[in-house]
Amino acid sequence: MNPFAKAAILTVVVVFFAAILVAQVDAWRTQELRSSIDQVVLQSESNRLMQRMADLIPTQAQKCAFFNSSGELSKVRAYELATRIQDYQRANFFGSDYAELKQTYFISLSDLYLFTMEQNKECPQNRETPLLYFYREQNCPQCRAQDAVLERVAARCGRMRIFAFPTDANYPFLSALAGKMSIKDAPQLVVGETPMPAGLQDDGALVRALNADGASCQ
Amino acid sequence: MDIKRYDPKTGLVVSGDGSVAPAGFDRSRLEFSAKMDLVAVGLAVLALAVIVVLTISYQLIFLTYSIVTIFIFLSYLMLWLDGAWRDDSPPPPKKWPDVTLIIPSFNSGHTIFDTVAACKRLKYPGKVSITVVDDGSTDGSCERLKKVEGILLMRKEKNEGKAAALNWGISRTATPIIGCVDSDTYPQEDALLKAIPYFDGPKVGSVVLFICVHQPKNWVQRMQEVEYWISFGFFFKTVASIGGLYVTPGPMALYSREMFENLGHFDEQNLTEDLEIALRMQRHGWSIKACHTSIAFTEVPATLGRLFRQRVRWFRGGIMNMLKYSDMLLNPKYGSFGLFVLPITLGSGFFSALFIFWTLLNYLRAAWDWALPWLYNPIAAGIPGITQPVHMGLYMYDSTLLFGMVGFLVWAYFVHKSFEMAKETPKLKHVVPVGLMLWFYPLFIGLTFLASYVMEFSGRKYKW
Repeated sequence: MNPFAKAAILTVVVVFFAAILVAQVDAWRTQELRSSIDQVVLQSESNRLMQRMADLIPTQAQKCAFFNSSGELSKVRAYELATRIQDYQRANFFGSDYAELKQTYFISLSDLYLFTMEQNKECPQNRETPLLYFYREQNCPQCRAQDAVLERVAARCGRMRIFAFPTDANYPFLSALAGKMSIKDAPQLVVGETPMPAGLQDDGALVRALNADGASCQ
Repeated sequence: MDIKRYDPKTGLVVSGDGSVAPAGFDRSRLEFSAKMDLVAVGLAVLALAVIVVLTISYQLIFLTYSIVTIFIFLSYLMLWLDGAWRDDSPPPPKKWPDVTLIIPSFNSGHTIFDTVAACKRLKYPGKVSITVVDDGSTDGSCERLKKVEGILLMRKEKNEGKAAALNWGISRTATPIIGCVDSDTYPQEDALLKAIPYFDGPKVGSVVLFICVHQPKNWVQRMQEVEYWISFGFFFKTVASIGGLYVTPGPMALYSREMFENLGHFDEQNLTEDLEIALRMQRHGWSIKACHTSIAFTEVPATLGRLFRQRVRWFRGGIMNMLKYSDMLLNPKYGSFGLFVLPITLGSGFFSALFIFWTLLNYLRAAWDWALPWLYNPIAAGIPGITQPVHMGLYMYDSTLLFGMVGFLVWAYFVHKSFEMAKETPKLKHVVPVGLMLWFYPLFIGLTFLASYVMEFSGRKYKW
C-alpha cells in the first residue's frame, strides 16, 4: 500500500483513539468539578434537613446548640469554584453539561446564603458574616483583582463566608438577589446586608467593613 | 565543450560561451503582471488570520493543525519504516571519477583556509582538484590564497554572488563530478569516498551530504545543530527514499557535469540557487540522492539576528521558487514529489507561519488577560506566588493538547533517529537545545517566514 495511504488510515485511527482519550479526560474533569459542587449541594440540603429537624426542638437555645454542633462540611472557596467552572469549561473539548452544573451550583449557593441569613437572625451567637460578591464573568479585570483581595482577606477572617455570584449569568434567582441588594455594577460587595460602593474594594476597606459586622478579621 | 547557460527569464537552456550572466547578483523579478494582486491576496490572508484568531476558538485551530501535523509526521514515519531506514549504500564504482571541488569565496579569510585544508585532506582514489573562485574579496584573502599550494585560484574582479562564482568555476572545469563547497564548510576525510558511489545511474544529477554544524558554541548554534541533524539527517534520508529531495544544500553538494550540460548552470538571479537547481532537476526527471554517511561540517549563525537574516534569505528564495515552480505543486505528473514533498515542505511553511501567528496572538491575548488586573491595580491584584497564591491543577490544561502530544511523540522518535544518524548519544547538554527546538524555534521560524512573506511580496530589495 502507498505509504501516504497508510499514513492517512493511521491518522484516522490515531485521531479516533486520541478523541476517546480526550473525551475521557473531559469526563474526569467534569467529575472532579461535580464532586466539588456536590459538597455545596450536600451542605445546602443538610442545612434544610437540619432546619426541619430543628422545628421539633422545643427551645431556641437548644436549636442554636443543635445547629452549632452539626459540624460543617468543608468551606468551599466559593468564588474559586465559580472560576474553576469557567476554566474547565474552556479547557474541555467535548461539550458537557456545564450549564446544568453551573445552575445547580449557583442555586445551592443561593440556598446556603439564604440559610446563613436566617440562622444569623435566629441564632446571633453563632453568627457568620456573609459576604456577597457580585462579579462579571467576561471582560472584568477589576473583578479578577477583587478575587485576589477576597482570597487574602478570607485567610485573615474567622467568622465569614463568601458567596460569589456572576451578574452576567442570566439566572432569574440571581437577578432577583442582585435587584434586592441594589447592585449597580461589578464588582460589588455586600457585607451582611450593607452594600459597599460599586467597584474594587482594597484589603483595608474590606477588613474594616467585615470587622464592623463582627467577622473578627486580623 | 558547449556549456549551456540557464536563462532565468525564459527558463530555457541556451548555448553560450560559458561566460556568466552579465546582470550580476540581483533579486529575480517576479514576472507576474498581477503582482499587486498577489500583495493584496497576501494581506487579505493575514487579515483573515487575525479575524479567525479573534473569532474562532483556538481549540479548533489547534486541533486542525494537530491533525494535519499528525498526518505529515505519520507519512514520514511510514516512509521511514517502509525502507528509508535501510542503509543501502551502493557498491564502489569500477572507476572513480575525477572530481573538482569549487569553493566560492568572498571576504572569507577567517574560514577559507580551513575549508581548503579539509578539502585537501579528503581521501579519494580518483583525482580531486580544488578550485577557489574569489568573488572580488577585499579582505586580503585572495592574496593569501595565492600562497596556498595544491589549489587553482581564480579571481573575479567584480562581486556577483555565489551562483555566479560557482558558474564561473563550473564553466572552467572538465571533470565529470563537480562539488560545490561553501567557504566555511569542512568535509570529513571520507566524504567523497562515501558519496561518489551514489552516482550510480545515468540521470543522477546530484548527491547531497549530511550537513552538520561545526563546533557549536552557544545556544543559538546548538539549537541549529539539532535542527540540522533532524532536517539534513532524518528528513532528507526519508524524503530521498522516494526521490523527493527538494534542495541540494548550499554548504556542500556534488553534481554531475552532465546535469549542468543538459539543464544549465545555477540561476544567478535567484536568492537560493541550491533550491532552484534541485527543483529544476526534479522537473526534468533528474534524481537527487542523499548519502547520510558522508558528512560535512559548516559554520552557522551565532546570533538570532544573523540567523534571522539567513532564514529570511532561505524563505524568500523558497517563496520565489515556489511561485516559479508552482505548476509542480500537487501535480501527479511529478509523483510523490509533486503531491506530497513539495506541498509539505514549501507550502506548509506558509501555514505553519499562520498557525504560529495564531498561537502568538492567542498567547498575547492570554497574557494580556492575565496581566490586566495587575495593570488595573497592582496592589490589589498581588504578585502570584508571593502575595497571592497560585492555583494550578492538571485539569486546567486544554484537552486538545492531547492531540498535540501524539504529534510530539512521533517527533520525539524522529529526534531519536536523528541523533542515531549523527552518531550522537542524547545527553543532558542536549535537553535545552531540543526543548528550544520544540518551543522557541517554531515561533522564531514562523515569525521569520511571515517577515519573509511580507518582504517578498512588497518587492523589498534583498541585502546579504
